[in-house]
Amino acid sequence: MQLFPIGRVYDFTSRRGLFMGISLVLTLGSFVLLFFPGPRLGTDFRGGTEVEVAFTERVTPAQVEAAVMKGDFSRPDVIRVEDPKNPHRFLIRVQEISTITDQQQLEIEKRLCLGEEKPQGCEHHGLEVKFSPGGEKISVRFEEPPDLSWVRAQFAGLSGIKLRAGASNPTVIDERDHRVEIQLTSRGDQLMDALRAGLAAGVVPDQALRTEWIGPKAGAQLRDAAVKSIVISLVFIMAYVAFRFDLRFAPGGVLALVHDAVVTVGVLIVLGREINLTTVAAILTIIGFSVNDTVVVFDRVRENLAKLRGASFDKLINVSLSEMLSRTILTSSTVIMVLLCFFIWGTGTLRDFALTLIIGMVLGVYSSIYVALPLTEYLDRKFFSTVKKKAVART
Amino acid sequence: MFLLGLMALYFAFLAVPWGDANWRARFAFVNVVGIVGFVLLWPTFDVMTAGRVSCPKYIKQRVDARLVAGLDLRGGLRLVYTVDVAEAVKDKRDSYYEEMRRELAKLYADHQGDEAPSDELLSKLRERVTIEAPRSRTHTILLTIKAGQDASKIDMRFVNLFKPDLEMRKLSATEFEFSIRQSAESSIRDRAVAQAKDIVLRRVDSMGLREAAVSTRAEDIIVEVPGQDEASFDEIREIISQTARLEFKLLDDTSPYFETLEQQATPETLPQGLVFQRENAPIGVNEKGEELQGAVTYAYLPTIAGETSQQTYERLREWAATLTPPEDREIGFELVRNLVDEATQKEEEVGYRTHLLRARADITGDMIRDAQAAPDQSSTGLGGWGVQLSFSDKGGSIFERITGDNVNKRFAIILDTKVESTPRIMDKISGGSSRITMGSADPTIQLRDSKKLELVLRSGALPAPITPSNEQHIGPSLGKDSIRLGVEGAAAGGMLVLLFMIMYYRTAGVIADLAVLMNLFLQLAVLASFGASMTLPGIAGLALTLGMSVDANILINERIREELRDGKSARVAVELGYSKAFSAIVDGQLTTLIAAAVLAQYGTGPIKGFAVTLMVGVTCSVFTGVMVTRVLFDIWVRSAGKNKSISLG
Repeated sequence: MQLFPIGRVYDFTSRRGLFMGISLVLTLGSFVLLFFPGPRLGTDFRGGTEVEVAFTERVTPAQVEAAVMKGDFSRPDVIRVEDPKNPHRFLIRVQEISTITDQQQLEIEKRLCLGEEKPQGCEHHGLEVKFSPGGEKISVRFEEPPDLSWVRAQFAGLSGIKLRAGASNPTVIDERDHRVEIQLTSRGDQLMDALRAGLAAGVVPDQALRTEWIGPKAGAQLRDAAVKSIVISLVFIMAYVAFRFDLRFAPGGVLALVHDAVVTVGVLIVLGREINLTTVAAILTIIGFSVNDTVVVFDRVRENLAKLRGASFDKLINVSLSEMLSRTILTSSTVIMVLLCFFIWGTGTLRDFALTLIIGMVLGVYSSIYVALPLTEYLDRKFFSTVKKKAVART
Repeated sequence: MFLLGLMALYFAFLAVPWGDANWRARFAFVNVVGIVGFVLLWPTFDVMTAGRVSCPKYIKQRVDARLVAGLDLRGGLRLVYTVDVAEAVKDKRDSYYEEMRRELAKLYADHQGDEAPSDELLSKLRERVTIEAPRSRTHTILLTIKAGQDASKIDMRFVNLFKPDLEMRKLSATEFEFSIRQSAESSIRDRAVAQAKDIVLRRVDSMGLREAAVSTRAEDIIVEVPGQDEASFDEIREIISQTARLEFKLLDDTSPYFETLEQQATPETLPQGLVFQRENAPIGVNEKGEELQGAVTYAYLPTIAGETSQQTYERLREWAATLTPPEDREIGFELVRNLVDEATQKEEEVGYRTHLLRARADITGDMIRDAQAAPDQSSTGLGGWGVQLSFSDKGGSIFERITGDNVNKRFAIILDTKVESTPRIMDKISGGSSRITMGSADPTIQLRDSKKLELVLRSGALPAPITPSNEQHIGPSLGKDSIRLGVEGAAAGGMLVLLFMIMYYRTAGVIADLAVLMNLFLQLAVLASFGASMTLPGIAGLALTLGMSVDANILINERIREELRDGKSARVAVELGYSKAFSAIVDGQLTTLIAAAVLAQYGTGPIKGFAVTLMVGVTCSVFTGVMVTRVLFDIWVRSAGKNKSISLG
């Protein structure tokens, strides 16, 4: 079997302008999309509260959304989760996380009689108050064994702060230190309450399958780390290409990678997919695969340089690309084959991951044919024309 | 021994009476790698097939490579700890307090040098200046200059001594408040969490639980342990939450504190069952160098029926918190055991007792360089165990000075607020090492305790205590069905690739497929030897690398086709195909490796698992794609005969 006729040389460079134009438009378009409307960041990066609920009866995403918004939440992401055991399983995600504002913290500290001045009605004196970063727990150390009902009473009438129902709240967690823990209703609880209020009775289970929150700070850190890791891998790859081939091969190859990564994100934004940690993993994998394609063709160019003495750089590129065409297509299709299987069979994260990779792989093949090499040739002509054709191959 | 066996195997394969020397070298190498891979995977197969592929005990005991299912596939325990960062802030404040007191002693009490001021100087200082570290506000130090003293000594120079971390507020002409800056405080908090995570990770690692994952979220440390083994969960809980704060403090055996207390106390104020007892203790030497003994009183609280010894400890502590020990003294607690059986040294825990300690720790855990559990040489021949400590240079010289100054006195070794033992200083100890004897007399308990102590001392003390805040037994995060689907997807993808290669390249495709299967096998073996856990993303990575690993063979086969087309003979074409495709293969795979390595650095949990699989896959695929196929290709070319041609589809 043979995919492409042997010995045939395709002309890739003559319509270079057209393809580079298309790529430029795609890249710039994706860049614009990155800021307007901007990517839909997952909870990983944005911070927020995420609850998975298995409803006992059929509900529509629209009903869920309406119920959540009636409970004073921002527009939620409502995602149906495929699960044969729980046919009505949903992932509900809101931007709000429980935080206790500085002002609320001060108010609570005052009510628990912290600090030098002792206001009226202070039965106990708090020594130290700690607020959990998730805003769901407060722990207080008292000077003397406290009266729990008094502690409870101190929280009455505080706006935005509600104690979680239950007999053992607040509770003494450390006898010696007189440390008391007060459980607050978290955003997850509030979300469940909103669902109970907004949906038919008996549909909402007592417990969520999973409640998760990520603080906005941790999210921002992850996001920065993601961008950093992508940039670092680009720099390393550029250095490697420059070292193995020639400095002038590096910009073309790396720009092709940037093109792949940016346009993949652009396509995901257009498709309304969300950008999360898994997407970053997929993009880094794409970068690895795509540079693989490009480098293999570079390798052939280097080899042909010795073979086809005196040929123009144009021709060199066309010959090399044509020779490597079946390999490029074959390798990518085997990988895409596997990915398609994951896309068809897989669920959840695995499926999103496969989709991102498929987009990236297709772009990678396109870019190593129509972006990397033509760009290298263009840059070569523009900036290195005096030493053209000589010394392209160093190794 | 193991290497010798492998070499012998290698030479045995080298001696096969077939092929040329080059081929035999490759053949032998491939076979040895394959056998090593099989041995590494054998125990895993045994476990996975529930003993149907039984692995001999000999190998099971020697090969500890195991591939285990990750948390998402089989569930496990998720422990959440909260780092008590306020404690870390307080520690920092306290160390500034010491420093500030020393500086004040220089200004107001004629103290000189960088040593800690003596008790006398401190009481002199107290008459002139009060320095206070309030318990309720963990980041402040309060300073009051008493009447008649020169408050202008607290000037810019003094403030600048504590500049980067502390800021000063003048409350009045004679009152000053120093507090830790907001920025410094948040960096102390961040550092405390990061350090605590490192240490928890080190402890978990040194327990041999490589599949456990440790991560942080805000001020929480999350430990995830796959599996369902309750016993190992208990061990993890115990080891992780030990603060492992080690301190050496001198005992004060001459103070009449407890004796006075005994006379003054009324039974109502004492905890139920508390008695005062007397013991003879070494209290130093006189001018002639003769060792002195003195009677010292202490409080002893026996465990009452229906109480655990921990509860006794807490009762005793609660009572002690109501006492006011003398200036610069504090009360320490030690577990008391009774010998039950003389012959086996079996014993039981019967209660807790007090010691009067000097409040200042002379030596702390950070002055310890290494700790090692070692059998007790001087023991009665019952095989006692202890922990041998070696101090850092600073710790060693302090220890030498302290032991020199306090011959024939006792000091307390305190671990996590409990007194472990109170050895007598027999002589000045130089050489920077010491030994902790375990409190128990039962050698098996001694061994267990010393191993634990060694582990926590080596992994370092936690910068702040951590408290368990949440604990969840979690089931597999993906339903059984989605796991099945994921695995099916991987299998289908893999099969498609294999079929495709055969269709496209015929015989050469079969060769490539064999190499791909060997690649899969080797990848699993390498992952098993890392002790990696198999997660669903990991399986995806495995299938993906199968798709890529044929890349090397596509490159080679395309190249051989080209050479055949140019009219080269089969043998030459194969030779050239391999040598010319090699650089492209290496370049391509290395760049993928770079991206995967960055991913492994960045990612956590499942993403890291995916990246590691990718890296292992890329490395293995170079080996199988080039070396293994070459061996097979040569067999094929040879069997095709000298002048016959080969066809690559």
